[in-house]
Amino acid sequence: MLEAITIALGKLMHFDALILIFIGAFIGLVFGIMPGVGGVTALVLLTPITFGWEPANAMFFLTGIMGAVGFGGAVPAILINTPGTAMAAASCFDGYPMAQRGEAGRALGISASASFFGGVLGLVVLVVLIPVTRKIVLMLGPPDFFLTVLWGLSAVAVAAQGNMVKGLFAGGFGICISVIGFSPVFGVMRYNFGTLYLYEGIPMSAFLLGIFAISEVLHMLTKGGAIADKQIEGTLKGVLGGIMDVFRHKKTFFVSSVVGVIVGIVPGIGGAVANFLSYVANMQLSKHPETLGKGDPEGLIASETANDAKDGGDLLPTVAFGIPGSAEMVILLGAFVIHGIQPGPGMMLNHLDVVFVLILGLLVSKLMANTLGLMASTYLIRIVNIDVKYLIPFIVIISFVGCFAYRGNLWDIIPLLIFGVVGFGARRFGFPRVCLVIGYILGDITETMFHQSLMISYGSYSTFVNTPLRVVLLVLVVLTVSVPFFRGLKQTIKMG
Amino acid sequence: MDDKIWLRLIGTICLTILAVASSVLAVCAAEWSPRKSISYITTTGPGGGIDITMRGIRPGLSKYLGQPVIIKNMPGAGGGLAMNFLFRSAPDGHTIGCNDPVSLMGKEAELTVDYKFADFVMVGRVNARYYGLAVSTKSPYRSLADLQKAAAARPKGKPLRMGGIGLATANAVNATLALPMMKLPFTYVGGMKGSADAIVGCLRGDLDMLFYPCETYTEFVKSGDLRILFHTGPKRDKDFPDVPVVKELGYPELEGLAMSVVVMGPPRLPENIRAALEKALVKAGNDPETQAWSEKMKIPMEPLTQKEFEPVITRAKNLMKNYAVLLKQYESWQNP
Repeated sequence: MLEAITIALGKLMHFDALILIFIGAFIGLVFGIMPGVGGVTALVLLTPITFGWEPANAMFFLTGIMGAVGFGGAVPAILINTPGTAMAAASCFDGYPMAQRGEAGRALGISASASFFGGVLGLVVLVVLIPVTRKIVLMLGPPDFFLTVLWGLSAVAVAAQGNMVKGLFAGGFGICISVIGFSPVFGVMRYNFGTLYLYEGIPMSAFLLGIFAISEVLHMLTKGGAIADKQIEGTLKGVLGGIMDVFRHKKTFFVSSVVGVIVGIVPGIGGAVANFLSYVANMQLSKHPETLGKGDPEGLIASETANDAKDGGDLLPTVAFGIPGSAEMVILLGAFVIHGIQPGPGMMLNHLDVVFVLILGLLVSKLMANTLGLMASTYLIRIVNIDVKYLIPFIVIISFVGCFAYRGNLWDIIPLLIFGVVGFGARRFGFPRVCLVIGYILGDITETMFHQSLMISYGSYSTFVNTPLRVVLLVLVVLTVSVPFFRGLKQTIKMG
Repeated sequence: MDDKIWLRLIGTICLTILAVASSVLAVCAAEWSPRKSISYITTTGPGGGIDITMRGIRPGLSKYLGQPVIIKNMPGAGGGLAMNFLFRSAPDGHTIGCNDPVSLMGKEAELTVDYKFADFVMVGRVNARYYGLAVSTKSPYRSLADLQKAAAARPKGKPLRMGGIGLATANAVNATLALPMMKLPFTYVGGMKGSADAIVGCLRGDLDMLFYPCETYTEFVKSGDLRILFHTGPKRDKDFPDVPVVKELGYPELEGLAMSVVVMGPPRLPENIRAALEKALVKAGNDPETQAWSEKMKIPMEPLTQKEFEPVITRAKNLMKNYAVLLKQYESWQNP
């Protein structure tokens, strides 16, 4: 392994390599900031230009893009409540309220440092686990993932505290939205009203941009003024404070990193799940869950750390079997083939240096992109003091463009507007939006993993308790669901 | 008027009709060439399987058609959006598309779509990737006979497990066609995120077998993780010389069952346009630059004309005739 690290370091120490990572990081940052066009689009568009390059340089350029998208997506989520990528959506819950309080610099500082250190930790975990990657990937199956996601879903009970009926209604509505479309497990269409448009369900970009961006525009229309009620604090002081916040919330940071790595291991599950699962995991473990969603730095650390820690998890199946852990990794593995590297289980034996090229490329990219982003934030955070009448057209345009760019379908504007109204209504009438979004993001995957588990075990429910890990996860689910009941009981006893 | 004049008049009319008819026929028979760029509709997004194959043959197609060929990715509805678009396009040769015929027929049988496979005009085949049945090397199955014995010994309601993205997708439809004939009852575990996820599931012991194009397994066979028991190709594969083909095992009707990329045009595409497109497709596929790309990318490029490809389509159609019965049989394995 040491030899592979030395080879990869040698390749990184070239001026060309560093310049290519920088260019990749800049491009990734820009693509991350623009809603709807995330890392996958950037990689698809730019992979062909690397065809004639030396393989290591191509990998540095592409990982430069990959590493930067995470932080890029958080910038508009924090400043204008418009997630640049789906994996930054949970950052809206606390990042935007912080910006409204005049703490945009602090929020961006948290985002930059949490995503950088989360990414570093995820990659360190990967390096440590390289000798046992195969065992880990083969150890975790659908029942483990089902129980993990169910634990996330049960957070609706925590998030709904104080307004249980409305919270459960919002969560249930989110789950119903998530199951629209073709069910791959049963091979049938559900709730599509006979139209092929709903075959793949409600597009994630339309749902998230509607719930966050468009509903915020409607709120701005009724409120007026600027996003932040007071003048923003000094940028440097705020950013440094944000960086220190990550060190002050070590437990949140570690829990989120672990969740990010675990979600990364599951092939095909996007960053949005890592983001929300981490957010709800911290909600369950927090001593003051009621402050989450109201500008609590802990919430922002949770979502931003998991975003980037996921990259380490994504690489685990790639290292072990040469299979992609995420959509970005699919494109990257395609680029491997073009550059004469055959992905597969032999990667760990034959191309371990390439794995370290990826790891180093991601690390340097995150460092460059986050520094670049923080430098730009001096100017960007002034957005929150601009009168909303100038901001509204801008937010509407980027939401429309982002929604269309996601899959190039103009009809996606309709669900965008519908969910904008739904989000605005939910806010107006006190239905927690966090429950709605948790239901939507985790509902479909919970259902799929549940049925997969039962099909594999021929319908035996004992599959959910036949390993110690599964028992622990099940106990966690039960405890989480019982929290509101016990808290209510405690209050009743106190009141005599 | 005397008879001679009448005869001359009739003769003149006949000659005129003949001249007009032959010139019309001559125009129709003349080789068609496109007037503008050609839109090539693919059912996957950029980077998807069919998309990559089409990007490999695109430069050759542009070269031999004399017009730029522009790939338009229309993912969505499991290929339904792209096929709907092609179905409604003008049959002027400027819009063509591609798909796998068997999965197209399977989708038609299981979902409500406006088009039918028979509506499209087949231009030619780009390539075919033959299916192989693979098992984990940790499993006791060394041959098809072993697997058949194990399947027969299983209790009712617990058939062999195989999996993939979902029912009505290519690997599920092809498995439903092939495996019952081989006395391999199975349950399909859907919701996997592609072949890679299914392979890990098989190595983990969640699935008993896999049914994907053989190339999917190459690296896992090399690493000693997977064992291929048979494949549906016409002859033994040079990469897997020990693996028997279905014909050798007594199932000739399954020969040629493959995930094929077939170029097709909209309904009522005139024959001269189809023939011109077919000619360009075959030339493009055999072009040295395309072949070099195929070698580098390890994606086969074996173009066939409509006539050469017809027997494979006929065989697939024959297999699909029993599809509804097979689906019922599949359901009975799940709920005996």
